[in-house]
Amino acid sequence: MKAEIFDIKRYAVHDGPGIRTTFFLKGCPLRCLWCQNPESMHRGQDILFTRIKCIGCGACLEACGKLDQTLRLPRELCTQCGSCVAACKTGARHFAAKLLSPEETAALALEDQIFYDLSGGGVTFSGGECLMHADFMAHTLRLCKESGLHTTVDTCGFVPFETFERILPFTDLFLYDIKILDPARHKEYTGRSNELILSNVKALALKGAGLIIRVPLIPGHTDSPKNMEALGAFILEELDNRILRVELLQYNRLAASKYGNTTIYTDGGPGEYPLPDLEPQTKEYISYLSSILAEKGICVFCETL
Amino acid sequence: MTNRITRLRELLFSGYHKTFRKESLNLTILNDETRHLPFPIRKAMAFRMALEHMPVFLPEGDLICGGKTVYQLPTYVTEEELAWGNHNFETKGYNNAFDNCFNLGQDERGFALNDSSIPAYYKVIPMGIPALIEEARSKKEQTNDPDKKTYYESVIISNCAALGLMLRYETYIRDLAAKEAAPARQSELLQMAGNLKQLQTGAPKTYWQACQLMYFIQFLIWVEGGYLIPLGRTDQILYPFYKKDLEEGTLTKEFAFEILEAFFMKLNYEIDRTHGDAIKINSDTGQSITIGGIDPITGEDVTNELTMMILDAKCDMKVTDPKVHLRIHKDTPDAIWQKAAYLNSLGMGFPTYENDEAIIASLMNQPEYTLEDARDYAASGCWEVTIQGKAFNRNLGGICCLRCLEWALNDGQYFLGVPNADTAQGLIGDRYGIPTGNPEWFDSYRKLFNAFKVQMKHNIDMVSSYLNRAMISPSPFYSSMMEDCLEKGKDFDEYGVRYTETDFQLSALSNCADALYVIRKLVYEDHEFTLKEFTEILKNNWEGHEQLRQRILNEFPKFGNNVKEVDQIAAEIVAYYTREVTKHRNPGGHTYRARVSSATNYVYGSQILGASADGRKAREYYSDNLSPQMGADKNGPTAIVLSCGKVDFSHCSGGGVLDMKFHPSALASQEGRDKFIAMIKAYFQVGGLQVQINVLDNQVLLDAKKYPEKYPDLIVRIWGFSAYFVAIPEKFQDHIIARSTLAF
Repeated sequence: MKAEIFDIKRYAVHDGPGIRTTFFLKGCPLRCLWCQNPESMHRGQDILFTRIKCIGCGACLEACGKLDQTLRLPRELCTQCGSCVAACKTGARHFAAKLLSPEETAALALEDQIFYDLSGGGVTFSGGECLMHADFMAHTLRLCKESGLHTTVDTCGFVPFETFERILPFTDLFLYDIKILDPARHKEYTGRSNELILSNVKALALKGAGLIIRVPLIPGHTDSPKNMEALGAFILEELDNRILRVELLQYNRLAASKYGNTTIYTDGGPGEYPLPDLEPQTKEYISYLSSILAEKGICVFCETL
Repeated sequence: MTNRITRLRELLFSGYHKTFRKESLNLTILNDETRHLPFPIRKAMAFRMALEHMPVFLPEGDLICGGKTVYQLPTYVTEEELAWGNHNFETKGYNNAFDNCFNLGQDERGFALNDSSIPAYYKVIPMGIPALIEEARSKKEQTNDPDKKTYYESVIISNCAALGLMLRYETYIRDLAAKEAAPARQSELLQMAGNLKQLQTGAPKTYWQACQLMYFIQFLIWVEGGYLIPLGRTDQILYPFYKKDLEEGTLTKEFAFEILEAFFMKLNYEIDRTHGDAIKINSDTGQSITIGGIDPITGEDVTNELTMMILDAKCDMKVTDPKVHLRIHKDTPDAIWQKAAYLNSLGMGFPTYENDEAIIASLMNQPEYTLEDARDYAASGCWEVTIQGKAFNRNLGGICCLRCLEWALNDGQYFLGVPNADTAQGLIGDRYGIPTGNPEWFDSYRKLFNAFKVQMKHNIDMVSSYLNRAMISPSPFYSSMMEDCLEKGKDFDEYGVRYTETDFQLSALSNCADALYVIRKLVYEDHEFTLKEFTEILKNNWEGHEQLRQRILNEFPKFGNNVKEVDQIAAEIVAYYTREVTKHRNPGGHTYRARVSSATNYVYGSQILGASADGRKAREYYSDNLSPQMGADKNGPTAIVLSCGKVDFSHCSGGGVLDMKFHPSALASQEGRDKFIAMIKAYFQVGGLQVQINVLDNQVLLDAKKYPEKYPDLIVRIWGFSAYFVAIPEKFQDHIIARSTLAF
């Protein structure tokens, strides 16, 4: 059993308590307009091409024989044989993910144990949506827990509740994304309704899971006072405020470079960044938003404040 | 900052103090009588004459007086001495044959001026200059040795000259007071004059007087010709005065803070005079202060209120000097950690963290140090570890292991030919290295590695014999501030100081480990090339082999990624290097001290090197200090820490500094800083000695390069000190910008 892991970040300092190693798994059921990791949307292996690293040697064209002049190939034609990757010496053409077993993953996580011990950190699984790999996650989290690591799962919540039930005994903390409470808007921005997401988080709260609710603040989309009001009401009424805190994530455009022509995918990838040029929120505005929640007695945190 | 300090800072940046500078006084002390006096006496007389004639000044509102205003002592060296001098000794400027053998200060005879030794402020400040003169007088009476009598005489002349300058300042300030209209300022000026009066007759009685005396001695050492003068354990030295004044109710904490800031502001006067035209980097003044740490006798934590106050002042002032080194041990209070991390988050590169446990242990691994003295270490120059008041620290030489590998591949010769052939020293026949044979003879990796070791040993021997030939200039004033010189009646040049330290550095460690790994894999394991073929590729600077180079850059493991195979090579290099270096003794009879660092060498030393097997092209910079090669650190800071943790630094008593780079967002919140602190603790737990920190935003640096006028006080950490970004040469700016894109 192996999972596609497209990135491993050590010294991850924004994904739970202490210093952490975060594993990013490929595949996601949502299609958020602001997706920070578009290379993770599609589950399964991909071949990526980072244009800036290309020296134009043509080795991949020769090795593959099927690439067009823009060095692309429709996904259905690509067998992912890897010959273009092997031919490319600059690292411009590369596999999107490594395939790792639960044992390999846990061993990598344990390399940084000294940092976890000193900082109260541990291991985090993110994505994509890591819980799409239910078997892998159940196995890996158990291994990590058995080694004494603090475990965190960063999730969008859009998976069957059985998956949560399987991992709950081995998961210390959930970083649970709630983007927007309005179901119609949710479907418009992410491609899915939020019913399942909200019912799952409610069930988790009831079971006493460690919960941090995270809200990506997307200008004009999720950062309205109204959304904060609705979130606050939901947390109090439906979750009985059984959460550790809400984290507000300031908007940034760092992901824009993963779209368009800078990184292209075998089949062209996600295309242009779907959002217009948006300005990150000011500190003042974020502290106003957080005050809406704080006044209801909900614990709020924002890194930028 | 109070209004006063804000104003003093404006005056500093506008260069008010520079308007009083005189390059030369056009004076001489030489006449028919004096030219026959011993050299140290003449030097002391020249120092006295300079102090009698140098301009005195006081910026408006200042609380501490003084400042170097004269840049050449009156003539005191005779024509015969000049003709005889040691001019062939290439100490000035960069010497291609040796790493980092530059010596910024040289007297007229080509003798090295003194630097990097920390004055015994802990002894001199409580005793005051008059008592020091008295001690010299009585010692002079007691001895029959004419050389010692001469030394004491030179000390007496120099220190009396210092008192003379204090009197000039006192008179000048009383004049200012007489003209002063504002009663509050007038009373301040009268107190300052009173401070000077006290210092001329006895020991400082107050904290203010102690700060005044410390600065006075500090800048006078610069006037005498010293440079890179560290200040030692400042929080410990000033604390008794501070505590007494507070208890007696004669000082408020607010005013104590203001005095401290005024004192620190003055330390910034010489930042534009440190490197001359050759390098043009500001702020390499070596004015390090060391805070925190343990008691030399009991080993207990000695953090006090001034430790915190010094960190607060550095947060507040946003100037480069002094550079702060924080000594860390198991009982370092959490509040100090927090404040220090906050100071780092401001991006100026302070404090540097020093690991008490590992550093003291490494000093104890040298045969010379006592435990008590080792526990009293402090940072000199950049991050060199020395004993305050008791050690004469010299750190001018070292080797680059990448060059030794180049020699091993090329029978002792540079790929690019002999650098500076017309002025070359140290050549053996036509080569710098030693003949170790043709690469095709190395039929196993071990044989190549042995040849590499032979080159390292040869290079270490060659540089150390060179270093040991350096002649040292006496410095009566500077040396009188050292504990043992006065006791023994011997200046620096007679090794009067308890510990004579020769620090030896190793640069390009990560490149060399990476390169050896590549060769082992491609040549000896996979047999893709013979060593001869691969060497030819390097000699031709990868011409026609760009694909191979890219493959090496992208697919081969590199030092700093917690990959055992490469890290072990680095550990093996360091182990051999420290063993060889510590076999050497300097003329003071003391064991050489090994250090792993690059200083400026990654820029200058790289210019004579050909391509290397790690994928580096000819003349490209190599890595600075312990850092992985640029772009090679793909697994983040924890992997760098773990890689460095596999190298044994326990015999690197000269130090070894890891540069870490963070993006401001990583330290912006309290939680972020907690994680940063845990990271440093982890590095110290695996045996790391020292860490210096850059917190950089790539976008800000790019903008600052484009619009320097917007960023007059943007401070960054260079190889071992903090400097103003907009005032450093472009190639250093570009290096920092490139580095900053990899910040975590």
